[in-house]
Amino acid sequence: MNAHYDTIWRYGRRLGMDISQAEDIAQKTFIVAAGKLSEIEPGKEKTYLMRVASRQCSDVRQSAFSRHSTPLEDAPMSLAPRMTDPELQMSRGQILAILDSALDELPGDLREIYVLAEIEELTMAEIAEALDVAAGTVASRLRRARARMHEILCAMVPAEDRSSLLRLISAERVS
Amino acid sequence: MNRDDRSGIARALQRRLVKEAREESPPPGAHLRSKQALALIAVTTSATAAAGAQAALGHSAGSSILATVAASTTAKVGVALVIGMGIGAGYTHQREGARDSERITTQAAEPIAVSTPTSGASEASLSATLEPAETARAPAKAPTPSHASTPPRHAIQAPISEADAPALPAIENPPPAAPSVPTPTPSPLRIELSALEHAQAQMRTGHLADARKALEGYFQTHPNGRLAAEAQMLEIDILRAQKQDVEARRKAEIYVQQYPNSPGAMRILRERITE
Repeated sequence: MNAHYDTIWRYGRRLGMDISQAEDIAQKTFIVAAGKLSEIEPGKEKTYLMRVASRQCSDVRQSAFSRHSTPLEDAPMSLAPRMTDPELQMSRGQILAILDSALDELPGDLREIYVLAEIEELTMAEIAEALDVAAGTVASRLRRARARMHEILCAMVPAEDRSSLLRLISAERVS
Repeated sequence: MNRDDRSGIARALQRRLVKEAREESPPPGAHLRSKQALALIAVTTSATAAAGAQAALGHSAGSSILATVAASTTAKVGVALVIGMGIGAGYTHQREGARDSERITTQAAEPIAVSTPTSGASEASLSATLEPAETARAPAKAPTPSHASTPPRHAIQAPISEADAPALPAIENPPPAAPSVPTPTPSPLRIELSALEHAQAQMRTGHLADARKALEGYFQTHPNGRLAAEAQMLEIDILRAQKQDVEARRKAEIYVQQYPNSPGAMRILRERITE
């Protein structure tokens, strides 16, 4: 259970939920699944859970609390200020805030697929089943998501101070 | 910085961001909170199943083998305890009522003793307080002399889990049945239950081959047994104990198809999710 729980929790986080919202999503997902156990095909537990989680996230996103409450100082729209930091060490929260601000720029359907494919490492078939879309649609959306994400990150990279950025990328994070 | 440089850095940055995201984990206690929530759901489910099982067997008190299987399906320590306590409470209530004004006698003149599952909630507990299906009310009679020499088997304990749940206190022996009451033939359900209890006892004591043999005997003797579902569940547990995981999984899939809405199927599917 823990592995699936973590996956769902992270999925919620990357779709914009704050920590407690992600916990709610994961918990509700398991409760929903527990009530519909007979619908779960053997071997497809993960995709079933992700499908439930996706719907849960969708419900939350449609509510007034759809944006996760990243502190302002951890939500940079550009990496430039970070590049000037002589220490170039960032906490995981700060690093993830960068990721989330980039993901915020993606359309919802692309964001969902990007997270499932790149972060949770689901296969195309699993994503197609979890999101109830055709495999071809998943492939094309993932291609667009990757391309768009690349553009977003390129835009975040400061024009100068390349060496600092490289150090940032390779630096050990501060736990 | 030219375009290629920026693109390369963006890719490296992306890898770093993704790596950090994959390593993020829920805060401490999140797993536990969710498991507790699931356990609460399981309690509700099991209680419903237990009530249905009792109704199916026409019992006004006590528990049934189905109810106990329902308790075991939760794989939750607390759930087994809750159901077990319910069993004990119901039984106690019935016994006290009998003492007050009238005595409940049964064909067997004594309730089936509860044996205690000890190897964790995943083991289907087939031992349960089972008031015989043919329950009759009769005035209190004098003790039966022959019964007095029979060792009492009336202690009731709550199912014990790995959390060492405290056992319910033993209940006093009931006054023996009247001498004029003839000893009836055990009901078919009691016979079935005894066969399954024997198989489960063998399993619990590690005599897995004997348990299998006892179970095969059950299937041969009761090809259309009322406790067939419980017998199949027990067979799955024995196979698991024998480390025959492939066969156990195959049987479990058959079981789920045969009894999709049963407590046993829920247990199997729940375990599949949480494994």
